[in-house]
Amino acid sequence: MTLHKKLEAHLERGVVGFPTALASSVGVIMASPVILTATSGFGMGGGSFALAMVIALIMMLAQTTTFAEAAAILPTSGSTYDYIACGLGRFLAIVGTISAYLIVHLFAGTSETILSGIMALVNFEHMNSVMEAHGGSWMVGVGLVCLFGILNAFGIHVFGKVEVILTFGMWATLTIFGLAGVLEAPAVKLDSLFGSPLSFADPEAILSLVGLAMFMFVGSELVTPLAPELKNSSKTLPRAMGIGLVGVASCMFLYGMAVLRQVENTPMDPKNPNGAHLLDTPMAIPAFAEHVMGPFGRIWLGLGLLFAGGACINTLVAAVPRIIYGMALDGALPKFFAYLHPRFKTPWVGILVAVLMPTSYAIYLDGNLDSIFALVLAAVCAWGLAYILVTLSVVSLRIRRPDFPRAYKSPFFPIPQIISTVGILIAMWYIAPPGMTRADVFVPFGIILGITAIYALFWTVVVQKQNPFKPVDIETVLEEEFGKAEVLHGSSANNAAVLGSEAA
Amino acid sequence: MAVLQTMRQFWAPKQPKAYRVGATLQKVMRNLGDMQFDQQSLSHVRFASKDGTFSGELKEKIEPLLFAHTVVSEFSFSVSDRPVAPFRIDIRHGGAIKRTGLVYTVKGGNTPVTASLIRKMQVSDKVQTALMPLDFKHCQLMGDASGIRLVIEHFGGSEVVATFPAVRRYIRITPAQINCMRDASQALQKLLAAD
Repeated sequence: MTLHKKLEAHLERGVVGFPTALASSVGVIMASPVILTATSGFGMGGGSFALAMVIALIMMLAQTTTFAEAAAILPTSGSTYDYIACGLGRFLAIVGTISAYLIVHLFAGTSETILSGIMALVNFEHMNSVMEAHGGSWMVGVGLVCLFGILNAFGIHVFGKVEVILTFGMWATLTIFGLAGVLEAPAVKLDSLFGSPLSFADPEAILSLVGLAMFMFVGSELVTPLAPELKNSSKTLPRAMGIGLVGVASCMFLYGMAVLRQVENTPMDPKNPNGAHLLDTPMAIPAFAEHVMGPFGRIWLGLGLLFAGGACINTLVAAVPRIIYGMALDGALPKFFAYLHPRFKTPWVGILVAVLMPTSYAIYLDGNLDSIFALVLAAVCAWGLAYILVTLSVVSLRIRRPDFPRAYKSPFFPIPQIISTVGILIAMWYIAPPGMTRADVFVPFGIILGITAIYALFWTVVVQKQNPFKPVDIETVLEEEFGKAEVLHGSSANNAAVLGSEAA
Repeated sequence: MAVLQTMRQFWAPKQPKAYRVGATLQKVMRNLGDMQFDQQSLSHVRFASKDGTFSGELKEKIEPLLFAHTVVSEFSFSVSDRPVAPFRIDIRHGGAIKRTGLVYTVKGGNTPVTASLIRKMQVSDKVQTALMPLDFKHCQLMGDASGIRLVIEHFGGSEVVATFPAVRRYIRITPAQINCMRDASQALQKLLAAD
C-alpha cells in the first residue's frame, strides 16, 4: 500500500472519536485576567463586545484549521518551531516560538501575577488592608509565583489529586454565578441584554475590542495535533472546535449579562466621570458576587479566584520550563536551558526563567493595575504574530510542497487562512480599546520583539551558522524526530502514526 | 443511542482535560525506532530489538496538575527471572549542582542479599556508565517471586499538556539515552547472572 493510500485509509478510519476531540478542545478558563477582561470588555462595549467575541470566535476557528494541517504535516515535539522552520526558515521560527510561549508568558504571566494577588485579597478586606500597608496586595501574586517555582523545582505537584474536582468546581462556579445573576431581578436598568446596545455607527469601536475578545479563546489550537488521528477529521475537528469555542463564548456571554445586570458601572472617581469605571477594575467581581449571593458569595468567588490564580501560576511554572527545555533540545536556545537538577530531574534554569520573567516585570511595573490591559493586549499581539507566522508557513508549504502527503488538509484553502490572518492584523491595528493608545501596547511588545529578533538573527547566523531565511526540509525535521529508518522519501511521520495506530 | 453514548463519554470526569490515552506512548515508540512492538493496551506496550538482545515494557502514567497534566513514561526491564524475597532499591543521582555519582537506598526487604547487590552495583563500571547519563526521575530495582526488574521513569519521553497557556510539549528520548537503558539492563542481567 502506498503512503498516500495509507493516509487516505487512515483519515477514513481514524482512531479517535468526536467525544475525545470535544473533550480535548478549549474549555472555560477561570483565570483572573480572562474574567477581568470579560468584565471590562462588556462594561466598555456591551453589545459591541459581544459582536467582537463572535468575530474573534470565527477567526480562531479559521486559525485552528491551519494549525491542524501544520500538525498533520509535522507531528513533531517542536510543533510551532518546526512548522515555521519548514515554512519560513529558522530565524522566524525562533521569533515565532519565543513570541508564542515566552513573550506571551512575560505579558500574560505578569498580568496573572499582579491580578492573582489583587483578586485573592480584594474579597478579604482585613488582609487586603494589611498587605496594602506593606507594598500592595499584588505582592501576594509574586509570592505565589515564587512558592510554585520552589515547589516545581523540588518536583512537588500540588493540585494533582483534586484536578478533576477543582476544574469542575471552577466551571460550575462561573456558570452558577452567571445563571444567578441573569435570573435574579436586575439591579441596573439596561437598554439591551449587554447594556449599551450594538451600534454599527462606529465600526472602529467594535474592531478595537476584537483584541480583548481574542483573549477569551486562549488555547483554541490545543486540539489540533489530534487532527491526523480523528475519525473523519475534516468534519469532526471543526465540529469539536466549534462546539468547544461556542461553549466558552456562551459561558462568557452569560457571565457578561449577569455582571452588567447586577453591578452599576459607576466612575471610580465621581469627580472624573471619564476616568476608570467600576467594571474596569477587579473590585467589580466581589461586588457582583456579593450582590448575587451576599457575603457567602463574596467568599465563594474569592476562594474560587484564589485557587484559579494559584492553579494558573502553577501551570505556567510547570509548563514554561519544559517549553524552554524543549527549545534548547531543538537548538533554538542555548544548551544550558536543558539543565536538569541531579536529584529532582527538574529543569531548574527554565524554572528560574519562568519565575523571574513575570515577577521581575511585575516589580518593575510596581504592580500597577492600570497596566493590566496593556499586558493582556501585548500577549494577544505575541499570540497573533505566532499565529500569522504559522499560517504563512502552511501557505508556503502548500505552494512549495503540494506533493507532500497531508493526513489533514485545511478545507476551503486559502479562505480560512485569509480570514484569520487579515482578522488578526486588523485586531492588532485596532488593538487599543477606548481609553488606551496603540503605543501603550506596541511599545512594550515592540521592544521585547526587537530583542527577540536580534537574538534569533545572532543565533541562526553566528551559532547555528545557517541561512536564517532558508526553509528547512520537512524530511530533515522528521528524520531528526523519528530516526532515518522510518522516514521514506516524500513521506512523513504520519506514516509512523499510521503504522503505530495500525499496531494499536 | 449514539447521542446518549457521546454525552456519557463526554461527561465522564475520569481523566485530565485534553489527555489522550496512548498519544505520548506512540511518540516514545517512534523514538525507540526499529523495534518490534506488542501493544498490550493503549497505554502499555512490550518492545524488543529485532536481534532479541534488548527487551522491555513501556507504560504511560499521568501526573495531573490543575489546567495541565504531564504524561510520563515508565520503562521496565526484566533483569533476572530468578524468584527472590521481595525488595526495592531506589537509585538516584547524587550531587547538588552536578551529578557526582549514584546513591542506592533500600526501601523494602533490607537483607544481606540487597546489601550485596548494592555493593556489586557500586563497583560495576558498566552500571555506573549506563545509569549516570540517564535523566531518570525515578529508578528502582525491584525483586519478588517473578524475578527482578529495573524500573525507570524518564524525563525524556514525557509530555506536558496545559490548557492555560495552551501548550502540548513532548520531550523526546534520544537514541543515546535508549542505548544507556539497554546497557544498564544488560549490565544488571550479567551482574545478577554471575551471582
